[in-house]
Amino acid sequence: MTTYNGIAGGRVNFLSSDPTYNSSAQDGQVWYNSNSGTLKAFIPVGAWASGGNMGTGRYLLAGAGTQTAGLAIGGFTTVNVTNTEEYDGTSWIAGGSLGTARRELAGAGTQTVGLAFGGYTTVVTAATEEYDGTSWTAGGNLGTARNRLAGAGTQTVAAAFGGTGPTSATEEYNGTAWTAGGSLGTARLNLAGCGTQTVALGFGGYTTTFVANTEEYDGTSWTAGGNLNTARSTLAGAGTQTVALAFGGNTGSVSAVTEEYNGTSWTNSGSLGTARSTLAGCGTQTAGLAFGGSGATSATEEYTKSVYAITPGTWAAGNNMGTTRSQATGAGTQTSALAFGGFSTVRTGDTEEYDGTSWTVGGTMSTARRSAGGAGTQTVAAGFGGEISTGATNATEEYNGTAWTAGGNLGTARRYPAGCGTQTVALAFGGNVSPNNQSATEEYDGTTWTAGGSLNTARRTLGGCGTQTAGLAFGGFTTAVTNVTEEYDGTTWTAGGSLNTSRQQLAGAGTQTVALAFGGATTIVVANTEEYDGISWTNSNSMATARFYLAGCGTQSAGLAAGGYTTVNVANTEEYTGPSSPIATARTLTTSV
Amino acid sequence: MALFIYGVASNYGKNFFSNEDRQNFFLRGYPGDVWVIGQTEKGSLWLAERGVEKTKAEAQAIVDAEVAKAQAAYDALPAEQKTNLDRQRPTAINLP
Repeated sequence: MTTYNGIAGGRVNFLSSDPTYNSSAQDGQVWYNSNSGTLKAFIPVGAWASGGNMGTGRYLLAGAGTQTAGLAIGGFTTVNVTNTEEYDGTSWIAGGSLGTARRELAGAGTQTVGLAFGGYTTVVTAATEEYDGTSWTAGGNLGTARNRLAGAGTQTVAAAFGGTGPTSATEEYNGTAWTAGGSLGTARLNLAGCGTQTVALGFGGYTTTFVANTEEYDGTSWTAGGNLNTARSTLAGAGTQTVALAFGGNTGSVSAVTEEYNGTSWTNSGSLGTARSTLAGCGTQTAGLAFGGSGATSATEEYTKSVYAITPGTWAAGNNMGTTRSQATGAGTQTSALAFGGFSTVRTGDTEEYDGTSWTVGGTMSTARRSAGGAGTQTVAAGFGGEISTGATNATEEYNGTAWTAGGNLGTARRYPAGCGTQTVALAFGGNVSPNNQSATEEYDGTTWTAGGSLNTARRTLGGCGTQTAGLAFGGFTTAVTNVTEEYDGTTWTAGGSLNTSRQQLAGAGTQTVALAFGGATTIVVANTEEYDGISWTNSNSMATARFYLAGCGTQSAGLAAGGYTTVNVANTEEYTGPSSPIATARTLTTSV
Repeated sequence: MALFIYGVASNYGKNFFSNEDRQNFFLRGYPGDVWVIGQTEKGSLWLAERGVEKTKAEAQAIVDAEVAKAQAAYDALPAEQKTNLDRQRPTAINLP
């Protein structure tokens, strides 16, 4: 059996209070808070938020400073510009103008002690300028004029590397003059850089193609680091050699991809709100700043890496349904749910309504059935298909909170389908017409069902959730239980991440990208719960009572399981509360420059 | 010390077990109102307030009897009904 000790190399600590977050070395740390009785973990989450726009939109500019004291230098609008702007964490104000208007330059230093070097005027330039927070004055020229280069360090201890040619040349600045340093292993232009003169990082760029190479400088020579996951040029960077941030760029198209470097490898993080290349950046891995870029945008974005103490999701008991049954269908939310149809000792049309506390009797379906599909809310629901005494049915019924009335018939009668959406914009998919499992999808407009795109994997007793144009199908039975997940876009089903546990007769809740799967049967009845994020399923805490043929509804963070079958039909209800939102102990990392 | 305690308790619904209970101790329900509970102070208190403690053998015997009853009911079904039920013959359950 896999154990936490086996994976993490240590046992889960029992602590009477949450530990203080001090460094990224604690990322992923798990502990049990014996006072609150909760299992917690430090989960780092990086995300970009919009900042104040620059006064002058531009691209091919340079950056320096921090997220709350940033500097935008030069660039190109429809002409090369001298504009300097200073950011205070909220808005940009004009600073002193560069002596030489230019684009494709590099920057280093801080908002009040900045450095600009290289670039393109009407020719490639070697010019260096030094900023004091008010005005730019001339510094020593680069030994080799170049544009599309990268920089690192401070005003008086800077490094310049790469650039057009492409070149591998590195130069080091001492506040007065540039001298030659060690050459990059891979000559390239349009790369990004960060760090200091003697502990620098160069990454990405262009040779004769987009490259992912990362190199680390020790003040003398460059050695290979871990490659970016996304090869690209004209990207921006921030941070240090061992705690770096790469964002944006050109991969053949503009990119929003953000990656974090730990000194060894790059890991994808939250994407820029606006994909762009030829942008500038500054700051740190935990507090980065992106500004300008393709399209001469003035847009600024701020990257913040926060660490949250997360408590995993759990199921709690709800009050039992009035009628013990399996194969009922669920709709609505955890606190305003509907369960209808199913099988007790016979097929039933009974409906029950849940208010988060108790179940009360609702209107009875005209046609008793089990294993129907469902959509909608407690007071505006649709039930369709299922099995009646003579076999699969195509009948649809619509609920108004009081009574069921006939709706349009499904094109294909079927039992064990899945359903999602609303009463008037519903989706039915999969199922079985004995003996064949179905791949057919049908879309409902409140009156008529029309054919949609077929599932790639025909199956019955599957789980489903989402909407008519963003549906999710998962699990079920083909010739065996399956873990296959498919995502619907209103036209076509495409493959999603597979359930960790193959199973059928399960229930689902939520949306296409924030879904919950629970219960079901493999060769045995299971209580497993999994959460989907649009890419992959992650195991969560199991229901207390394993069961299949249960009804489900709600959301990923507030799910509901009702009834089902263990070795008998049951009336049990369980309520799922998803992982806690960032809580009071959440702490935002800050790093000094 | 044993990892679990065993008991019989009828699930009366809301607050029979809470999210906090689920975070505090292991809890699984089985046929025959049998519950397996993590051997902790809070787990023991939970069972004491809601049901009767059993030995593992006693709890297993209750589950076995329920499974046997369900198997007999399944076996008594005509073949076509077994197909229509679309579910397998209940299998033995071994308590952890």
